[in-house]
Amino acid sequence: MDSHTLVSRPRAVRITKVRDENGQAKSLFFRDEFSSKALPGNFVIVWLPGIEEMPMNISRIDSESSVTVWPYSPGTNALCSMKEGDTIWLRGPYGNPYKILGNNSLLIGSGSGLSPLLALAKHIASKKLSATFILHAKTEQGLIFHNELAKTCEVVTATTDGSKGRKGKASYVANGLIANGKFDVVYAGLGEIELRMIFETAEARKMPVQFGLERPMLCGVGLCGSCSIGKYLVCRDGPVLNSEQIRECFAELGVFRRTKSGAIVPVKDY
Amino acid sequence: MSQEQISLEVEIAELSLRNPIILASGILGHSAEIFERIYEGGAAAVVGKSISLLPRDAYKPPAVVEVRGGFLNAIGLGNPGAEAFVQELKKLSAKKIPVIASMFGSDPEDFVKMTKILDSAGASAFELNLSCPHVKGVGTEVGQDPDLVTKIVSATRRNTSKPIFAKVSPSSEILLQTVKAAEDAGASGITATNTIRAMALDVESGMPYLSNRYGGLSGEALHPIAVRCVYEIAEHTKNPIIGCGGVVDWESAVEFILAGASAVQVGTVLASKSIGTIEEILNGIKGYMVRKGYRRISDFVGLAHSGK
Repeated sequence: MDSHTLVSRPRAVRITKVRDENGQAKSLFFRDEFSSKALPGNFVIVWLPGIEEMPMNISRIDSESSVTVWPYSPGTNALCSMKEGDTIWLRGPYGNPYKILGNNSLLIGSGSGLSPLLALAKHIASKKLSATFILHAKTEQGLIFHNELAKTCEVVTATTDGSKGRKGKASYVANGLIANGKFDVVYAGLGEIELRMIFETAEARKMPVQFGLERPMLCGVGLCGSCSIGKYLVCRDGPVLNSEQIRECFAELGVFRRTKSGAIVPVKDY
Repeated sequence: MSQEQISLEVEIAELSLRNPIILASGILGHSAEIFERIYEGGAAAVVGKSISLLPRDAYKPPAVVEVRGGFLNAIGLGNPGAEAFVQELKKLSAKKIPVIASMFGSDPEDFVKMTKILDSAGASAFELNLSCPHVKGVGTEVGQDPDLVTKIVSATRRNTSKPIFAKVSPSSEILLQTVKAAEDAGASGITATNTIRAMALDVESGMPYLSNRYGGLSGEALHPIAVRCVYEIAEHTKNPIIGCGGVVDWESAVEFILAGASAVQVGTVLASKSIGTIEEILNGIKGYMVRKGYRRISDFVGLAHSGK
């Protein structure tokens, strides 16, 4: 990486390792100086020439960093079939990361929202702070990162259908734990409708939150405005927004978003 | 001279602005909330993202790539259409934020309809995008056709009494012809310029970075080209000019003013630096004026022409 490397110009990196997380999601490991200096919550934009460009959270930040990919589109399908030695292109990292607050945190992640929270859980553990992690998925098959998380914090497993651990949506399980009131901060990476429900509970208990948001993104650098929520840009001000910022854009959170053309459409749960 | 004796206020084609910095079209131009944030951040006015009569999808990503000296973009004029933009204007109706509506198209009849609804929805002025370099049939292709420019500007003029700015391309071989056609048809002023058609290739894959292959170059690399355009146009017109292209600090803004611009637009710098840069530019201009003894922006508009 020379001094001329432009952060927003895709750079080719070789995949050094592929890890099958649950028979569906794959973690692709690579060596990238920029990513190894990222903080939990930062994201990269992955490009496969001629196929697709996709924003992705960094799931592990190390000399070998990783993105964890769920197959749902031409680009993510291609990524999931990649092998060691294959090449992907990255730009970034981008965005404002999670900030560590307090001594005892609650982390909540579900499905594809789990990636940045794995990096965050490891970061919190490295500071010798305690954390409880609600590891959620729709069904048992969707759960990932369990063994890795169990080494860093207390894990509460939950599924929407109850096939493993506690039964219910992530917000339902989270609100039960938040009601105990022993946490200093709530970190969550979920769909906006779920985040909305958690925010109401946390606000009632005056518990600060940091939410990792995902909105359709075109440029990733604060030019196009397609990822806006209220006056904030998910790519620049986010993806992690704090309680004060969420309060300001609460009318929009989980209610409506903008398409890449800028049109306003209702938010659907995922 | 002290800072208190200085006024940054400018008047361009009956548009009174608290200072000469305007948000350029295509940058964060969808939402009322963001317009408000940029106005609070110091900009005197905002230009919306160019809109068409009907909604239009953006190009597939990659739509943006960084190059040395700036960015290439090919967003593809994606926009939610004129009616959706009216909703954003309505959200701002109680606030005193000058919003300049940017329009594109190839059919003068579209401009008639858009001008009518945007004028009554409270747009403060209009900017006609005769210069987008990466979409077929509109933008630059329209700007290269003086007859069509005449028709489009006249169609807009007939339906509003508000200022109309024609935004022209830096790559045009007939720049001054386009400017003249626009002014003769009723344009109040000129915005110079838009991005310039450009390309960047990834050497590993051998492919263009942008899904549209071609994009528009913005940022520092564009600035000297845009300054040349402003200077050239200023030699031929008395109407106000708005400088646009590669403003990254107060110095690059002042260059535009010296070349003949009465106001200056900012865009890419909000991404390459931040929205906070607007405030820095304004402070820098003030410092320059104190040093030079200028009380008003108009004291140094076009000064570069006098020394020839």
